[in-house]
Amino acid sequence: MSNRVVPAVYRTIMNDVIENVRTEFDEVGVEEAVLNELLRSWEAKVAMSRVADFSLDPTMGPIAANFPPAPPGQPQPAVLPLNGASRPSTPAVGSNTKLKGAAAGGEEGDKAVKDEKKDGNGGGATGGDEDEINSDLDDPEDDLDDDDEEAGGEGGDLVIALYEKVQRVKNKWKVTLKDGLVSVNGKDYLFSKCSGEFEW
Amino acid sequence: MSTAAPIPAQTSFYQLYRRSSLGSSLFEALDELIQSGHINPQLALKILAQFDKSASQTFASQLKTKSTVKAHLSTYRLCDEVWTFILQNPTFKLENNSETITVPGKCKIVACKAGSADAK
Repeated sequence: MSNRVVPAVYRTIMNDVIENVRTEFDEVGVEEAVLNELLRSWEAKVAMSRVADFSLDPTMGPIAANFPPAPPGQPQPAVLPLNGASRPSTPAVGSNTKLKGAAAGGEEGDKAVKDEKKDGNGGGATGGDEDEINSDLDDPEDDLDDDDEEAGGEGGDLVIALYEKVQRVKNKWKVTLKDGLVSVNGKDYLFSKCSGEFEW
Repeated sequence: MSTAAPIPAQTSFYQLYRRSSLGSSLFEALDELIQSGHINPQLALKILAQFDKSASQTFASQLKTKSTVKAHLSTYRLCDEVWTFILQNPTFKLENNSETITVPGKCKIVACKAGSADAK
């Protein structure tokens, strides 16, 4: 698990995406300037995220200079606004109004994501009656969802990975994860393998 | 070169990396371009699908580091082959430089089954 590899890995992914959608842009007749603008805008947002030290990156460096990475991943005082750490809503350097606008647009984007997810679940509610009938049963689930929001909401501490093995003996869990991303304390870490031991 | 066989279905890569800072940054950038009328949502979806592929392949090929995590498990759930764990005060250990990271409060793990995205 490493924070130092983050800039290089993110750069690889960004370049790979941009190069591979170039033909798509061509086919639908969108000019290359738009693709360049997409990359520039993406870079600016990543550089401002402060999830790692992007100062050595040729294009993200100058932007990242104004957004130094969060302090090392040591235990941080609980008073730190952890939820906001990975998503600077007010840039430290207030001179660039364009960046501010970008941040505001981002929030709309988040809403759009959620809406999209709702749509993705398809179907929608099959009627209000069901809810009333099952209301007692639904309540515990609602509580679980609240738990989710608290831990995994936007900017919350989150691990995204693939799992190879999940084993449980009584209350002891052993989990093997791979190709994962850990986003905690406002910083991103990447790992190839991560073994977890949990007690329930 | 002739136009080769079409790229395999775009659903063959997990979308879970979209939730990363890198993925949400891309989403925001795309959203702005849609709002300003420079691209249409269909093109944006193709770009996101390419992101799924690029992120999955890059993570699988470029990452080397290993780590461990210990925690109290407050919630676990398996739904549609996706595991969700909510950890309480987890401690991550970075094996390569033995750095330790403790996370105050809750931390959520979302994990998809390794190697089965292609089968879908």
